[in-house]
Amino acid sequence: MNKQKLQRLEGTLGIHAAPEVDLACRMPQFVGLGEHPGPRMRKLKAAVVGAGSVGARIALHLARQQIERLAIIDRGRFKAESLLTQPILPAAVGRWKAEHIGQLCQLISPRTEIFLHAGRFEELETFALEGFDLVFLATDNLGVEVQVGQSCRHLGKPLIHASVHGETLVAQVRLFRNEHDDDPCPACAFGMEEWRALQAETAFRCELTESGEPAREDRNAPTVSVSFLCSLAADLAMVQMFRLVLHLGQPVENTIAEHAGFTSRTVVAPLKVNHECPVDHQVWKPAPAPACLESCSLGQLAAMTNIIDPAIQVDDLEFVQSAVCACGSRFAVQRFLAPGQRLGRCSTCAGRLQADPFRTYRSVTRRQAASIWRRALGDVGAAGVRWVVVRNDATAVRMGGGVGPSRVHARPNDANSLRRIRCANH
Amino acid sequence: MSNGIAPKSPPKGLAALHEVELAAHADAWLKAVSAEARGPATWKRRKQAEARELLALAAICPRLRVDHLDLADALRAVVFLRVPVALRPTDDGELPLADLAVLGIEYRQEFLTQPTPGYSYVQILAPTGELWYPNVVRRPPPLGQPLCLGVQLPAGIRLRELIVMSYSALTMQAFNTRVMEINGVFNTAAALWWDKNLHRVPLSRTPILGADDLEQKESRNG
Repeated sequence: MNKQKLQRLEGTLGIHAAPEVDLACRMPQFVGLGEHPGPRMRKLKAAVVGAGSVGARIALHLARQQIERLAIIDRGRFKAESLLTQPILPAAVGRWKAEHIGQLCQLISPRTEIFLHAGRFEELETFALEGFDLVFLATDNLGVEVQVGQSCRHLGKPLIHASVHGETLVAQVRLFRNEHDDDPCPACAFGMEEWRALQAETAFRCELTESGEPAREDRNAPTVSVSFLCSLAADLAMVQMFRLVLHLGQPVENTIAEHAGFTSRTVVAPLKVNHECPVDHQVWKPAPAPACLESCSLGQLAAMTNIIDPAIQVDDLEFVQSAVCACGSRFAVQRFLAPGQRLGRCSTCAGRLQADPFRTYRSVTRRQAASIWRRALGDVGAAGVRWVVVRNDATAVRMGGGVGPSRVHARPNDANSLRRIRCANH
Repeated sequence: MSNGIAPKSPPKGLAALHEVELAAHADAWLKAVSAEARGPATWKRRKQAEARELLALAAICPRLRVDHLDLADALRAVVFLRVPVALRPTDDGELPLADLAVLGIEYRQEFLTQPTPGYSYVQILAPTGELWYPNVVRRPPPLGQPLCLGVQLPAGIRLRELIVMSYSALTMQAFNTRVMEINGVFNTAAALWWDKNLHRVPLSRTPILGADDLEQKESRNG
């Protein structure tokens, strides 16, 4: 699968955007905070995964704080039923959620850079969330919970997960610090039922799409709730975010706050790590990257990090030791390649060479890459490399990766990308 | 390939493979590949446990031999499995059967936590001719032919289960007569052919730990 970048929203609907207002004229001076919170909020960069009944409200709240940068990620479109729980009008039915909510946010806060992805979270590049200070998660899909949890853990980003249980009028917010390897992650609390439910969410058909990807069917049921419970969860998530960013009250890292509508009680409890959690709990600690990564060798990168016996991951590339051909010939490759990249023809039979899947590695050790250990990455197929992760059992270090969202103009004729719409005030 | 040892199932079934004692050479091999295992601690432990179970299964299953094991990145194994394998029928309707499958297994870390297509785990490296099953993806050599083990496999499925499911799939002991209705097929021609030849299903009734078919072949071969 080709990984994608977040897309910058380049225009808004042709109705009037909000005039410039000073955040200070409404934001309170919180007790215990020495300075006005406005300037800190205006520098905040946040991503919201899930733009439904909870996530859309979170995004709108963030826009009202006039934050610096906001990303909205959602794969779905609004349906008629969305009117029952989501903060939209009938005109939004049929529109992509990420796009519509993104445009609303842009109208509310013209100063905020808005980035969108109308697709699956897993389609994004590994470092897509790098340019953000924290991430909100508001999806009812367990698979996305695991993926976002994993991504935030690797990048060391705080994760605020808001959810509801409609039948019991419960709104819940979990805040994952993601600073240390032994911090909890969303999957730490998964039991057998959750893993079964995760598996049942997706079915794959025994056929491939035109792009060669397996045809998949998403089967997770939409959240059954009421709009006010969803807004309660979104509001609680914002409270927790404010407390995290502004250090208000007791620390909120690695806690779950749960409000039970039936009893009108809110309970706060610590989140516990599960040492048998199958999710990779390693935080990739950032380290200064050399000016030009591609001129470094694997050996030099290993030496820079002082990591003993490391395995090294180079961007989203794979290291191919050898290729095979239908005539039985085998050829040494010893290069980094993008997944699915073509290898050329066999010199014996002119047939197409294929990377040997049993000699292809996502992370390489010195033993596997012995022949290229001292060669510059740019000379062994990794020209333009953006990031590397050097890790062993105990620690992981990343260099590079500060790619952030890209500024890409929407293609006017692509139905799935953003439309370029002029804002009336510009 | 029968090694003359009567198959012995551990008292608690395949779930107690960890109680099987490995032969010295298998133990040494396990230690060597375990030393090369990389990744976070949970993943490393899982790979090592799966590798041990695979070697233990080979110790009690006379039709199974492990030929290659690599725990460095993903868990990769190549196993020889004595099993009837259906090949494309001849023009006069005969169904050739090979008696050995070479399976290439790749178990990646993301399989622990993400739903994965059923054909992601096992490839049939040999025979290389066209395999005659609805759930095998036809790919010319040198690539293996992926074997689809189902539309939904549980996250974190055990390697021993993949081997047992592969055996069931190749012997057609686990064969659904409604193949054309269920989530599509990879080989439509094979699906239609088997629909008309259900009397040939299954190709073997011997369970994976059984050795009756192996002993019959050996006595025929003298």
